[in-house]
Amino acid sequence: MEEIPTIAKLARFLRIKLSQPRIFLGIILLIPLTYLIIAPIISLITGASSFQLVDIFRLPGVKVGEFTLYHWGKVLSNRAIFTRPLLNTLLIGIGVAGVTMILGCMIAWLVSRTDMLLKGPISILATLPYILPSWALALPWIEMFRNTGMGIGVGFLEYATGLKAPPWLVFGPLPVIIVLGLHYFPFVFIMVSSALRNVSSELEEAGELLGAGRLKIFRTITFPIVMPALLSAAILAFSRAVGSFGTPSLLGIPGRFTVLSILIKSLMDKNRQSESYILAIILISICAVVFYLNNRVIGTRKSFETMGGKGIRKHLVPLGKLRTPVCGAVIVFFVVTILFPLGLLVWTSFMSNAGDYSISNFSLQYWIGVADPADPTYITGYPGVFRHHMFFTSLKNTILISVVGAAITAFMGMLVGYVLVRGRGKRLSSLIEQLSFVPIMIPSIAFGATYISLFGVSRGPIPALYGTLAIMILVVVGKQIPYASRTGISAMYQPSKELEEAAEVVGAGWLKRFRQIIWPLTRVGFSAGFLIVFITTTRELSLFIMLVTARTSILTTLTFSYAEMGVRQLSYALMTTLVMLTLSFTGIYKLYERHSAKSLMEKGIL
Amino acid sequence: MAFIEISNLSKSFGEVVAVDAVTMKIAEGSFTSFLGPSGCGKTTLLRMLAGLEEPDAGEIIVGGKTIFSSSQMISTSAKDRRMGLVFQSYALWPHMKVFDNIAYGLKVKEAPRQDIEERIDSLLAMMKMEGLEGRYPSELSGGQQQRVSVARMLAVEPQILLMDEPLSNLDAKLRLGMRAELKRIHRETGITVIYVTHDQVEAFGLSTCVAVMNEGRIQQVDSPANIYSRPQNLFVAGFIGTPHVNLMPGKVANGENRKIEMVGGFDLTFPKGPTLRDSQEVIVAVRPEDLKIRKGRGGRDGVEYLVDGILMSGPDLLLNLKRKASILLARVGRNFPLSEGDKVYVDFNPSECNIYDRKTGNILLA
Repeated sequence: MEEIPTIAKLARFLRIKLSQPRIFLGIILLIPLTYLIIAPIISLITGASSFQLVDIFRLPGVKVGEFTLYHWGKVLSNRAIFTRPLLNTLLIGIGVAGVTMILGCMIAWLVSRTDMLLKGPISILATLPYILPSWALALPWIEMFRNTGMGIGVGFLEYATGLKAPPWLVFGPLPVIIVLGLHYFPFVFIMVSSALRNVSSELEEAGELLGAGRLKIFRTITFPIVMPALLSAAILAFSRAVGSFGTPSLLGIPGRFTVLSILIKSLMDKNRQSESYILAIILISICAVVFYLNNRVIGTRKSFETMGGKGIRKHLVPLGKLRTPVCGAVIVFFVVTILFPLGLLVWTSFMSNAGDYSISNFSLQYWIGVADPADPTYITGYPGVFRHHMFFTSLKNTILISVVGAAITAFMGMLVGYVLVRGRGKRLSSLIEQLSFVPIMIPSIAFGATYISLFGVSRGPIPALYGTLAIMILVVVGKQIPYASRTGISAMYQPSKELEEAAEVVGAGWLKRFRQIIWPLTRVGFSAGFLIVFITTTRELSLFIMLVTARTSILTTLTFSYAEMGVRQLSYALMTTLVMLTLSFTGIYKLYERHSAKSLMEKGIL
Repeated sequence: MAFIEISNLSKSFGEVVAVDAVTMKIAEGSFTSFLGPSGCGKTTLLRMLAGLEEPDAGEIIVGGKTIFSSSQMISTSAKDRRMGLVFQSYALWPHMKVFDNIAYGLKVKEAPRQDIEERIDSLLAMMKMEGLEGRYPSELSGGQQQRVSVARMLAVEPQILLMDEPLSNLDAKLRLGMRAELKRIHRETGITVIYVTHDQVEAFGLSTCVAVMNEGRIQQVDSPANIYSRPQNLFVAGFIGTPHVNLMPGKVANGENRKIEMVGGFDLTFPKGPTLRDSQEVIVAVRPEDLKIRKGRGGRDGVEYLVDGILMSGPDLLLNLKRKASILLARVGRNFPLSEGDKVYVDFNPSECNIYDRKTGNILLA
């Protein structure tokens, strides 16, 4: 046999390996994944542990970029910017996780395990809060409870009853936990009810036949099966809550209650980047530890979630006489906590003078008024939403960032899905899988901080991106990759590997196979990924708050800035618009989902 | 020279050795089946031929051209191997109509529209599927899907047609019809077919050559008739045939005369063959239908057995025979007058049995 030189052998080896699209795409994917996920984290850590430009003026003799633990010492020894906010953050996280667990489990159990009335509408109401921006309910909270006793104007409660809410109810940890808990409980509701649906009542009946009592059955059978889902959902709620910015700022700061997310932003505003980065690292570490513990505790037991399918029988618990009252109580609960506050938000946006909720005070000023002193409708100096040039700029930016970001992310999600599904168990695929799921652990506000640290200055061929739409799009891609990958993976499981192989043996190269076989069969997954990222991006605040500038203003940041300034009606009008937009996008998504499932079933693909 | 030459082909998945140094030759125009229990590596071997699985080591030469060689780092990609593969699941593209499924390979090769249409017309005629070109796969029956998947592969005129258990998703009746169809297609096209199956009746019915595999190794490559009557080792003897072969332990009484004493009470002397070792432990294998059963002793020899059970199998009766600790399975015509508890006399012709070495499992005398 002829001898082949090593170089030629290596070249042949590479050609054979790279001709497999799984390997080729996997290697290509490593570049953006490293750049969008790993590099920002590294630069956050180096930025936290080195001197910045501003330090030169404060500390003579130091060089920019020089390694130092100076900032770490400064932060960790400071009660006001480290210890207290850290404890407050944990309080919020644990509180929110607790609220979501109680609320989510109760409603999930009622909907999937009892014969309660009106399950359909209640299920929809129970997912509604998550569709809204996380701080949507913070605005009506203030509007409800603000009072003259605190010197911040009349709120609805005082207007209607004359009662003055105590300050701890208006601002501070309690309202923050309630508002965030109401926003995140749908996580628990959705995951626990799907877990409950997968528990065949036969499992419980088997326990009953063996003589176990109701409580014992719940404790030893139902609960352990549902527990992994419950814990995962609560941990997701925890990590989102500790990284959220809008609600703690609006409801916490006025009550002198600060959390890490607020400080990360305010230290950055004060040009104390290193200290801001350190807090971001601490926030990320908290979430990483929590996720790690979750994995350790439930680890393999996650598989319960996929149990069942066929042969699941439901025996519903009869509520008997309580059937109507329970349903009524749940509906009243949602009306009081969600529908009424949203109504108050909309109503107040039509009030000419804040604090007067009468019909005679009705005005369109904050919707279509102009900010012209000569105009008879001129009142405050702020134009109405639809006359506000910043509104249109922000709307345009929101759409642009969401569309471009969602398209890129969804496409990458499909590629990640392909590499993972085709290369299950292979080293390259596991690496990509781990990389692409890292952003789930990073709270939004901290993720924003990592992007400032990496893209804030020019590095090599890439100019400083701060203040551009590009950085906003990149941060969307980085943060949303896990979710798009998830839809990508499930989309790629749809067509069997053999469909692609059949094309390969009749002579189709991989580009052709992608375009003609895989893409037509997984396009639905792309659209789903696109819409999911698009919808989450349009309502996102925490991720962008650190990166936004006047030029790149988006709807959420514009709304937030007016809310922060206390321009009540204008911020409510903007929030109303935002809520309408997110609701209609979600509606479109739901319709599309139903339509595509139907058309796929007709063709026999599903 | 053989058309396909496989040498020392190996593949492991982690710790599991799926294909272990397989070496074999396949003649042009033959219909060769890889037959073996599930997990024996037959599908992996087929996929390595197709280029869908990369072997760890070995060589594949087709028509004098090396398409895979681990030592020379050659691996022609699947799309350039000119092989067709019919999948167990058919793997029809659900978003394409029958016409587009069959035409796909030709379109990839940028064949002129006219040629494509002519080719598909003739393929649909061969498959007896005229008029169905506008249907989606989901609108076809299992047998029709199967035929489309064969036509799709034949369309690109491959050198070799590989089939991976193509009939296992069909119901029993349809399977019989499709078997005849496949045989006809093989005859009409003259293409070299390599066929993977765990169903021995299917392998015997279709093939000109059968390769029995177990635990990643080729056990025997031979004509169906030889595989059945002259299995080369105990695995093949035991795997082939339903009901399974009778395996009776014995001992060589006289090596030179090839005289064997068996536990079941038989004494055998083989008229010809190589000399055996004295007191060598052997296994004698006799197919159930080769056992001669008589109700009376008559004038001939025969060992007395008790009828322990009778199972009606349709065309014939399966008998469970017992004598002390030894149990035999015999097959007689369905009208044989017998009832459970009867005594019978059992006998067989030495030329219709095979003798294996008990230790190595390899054949000694046939």
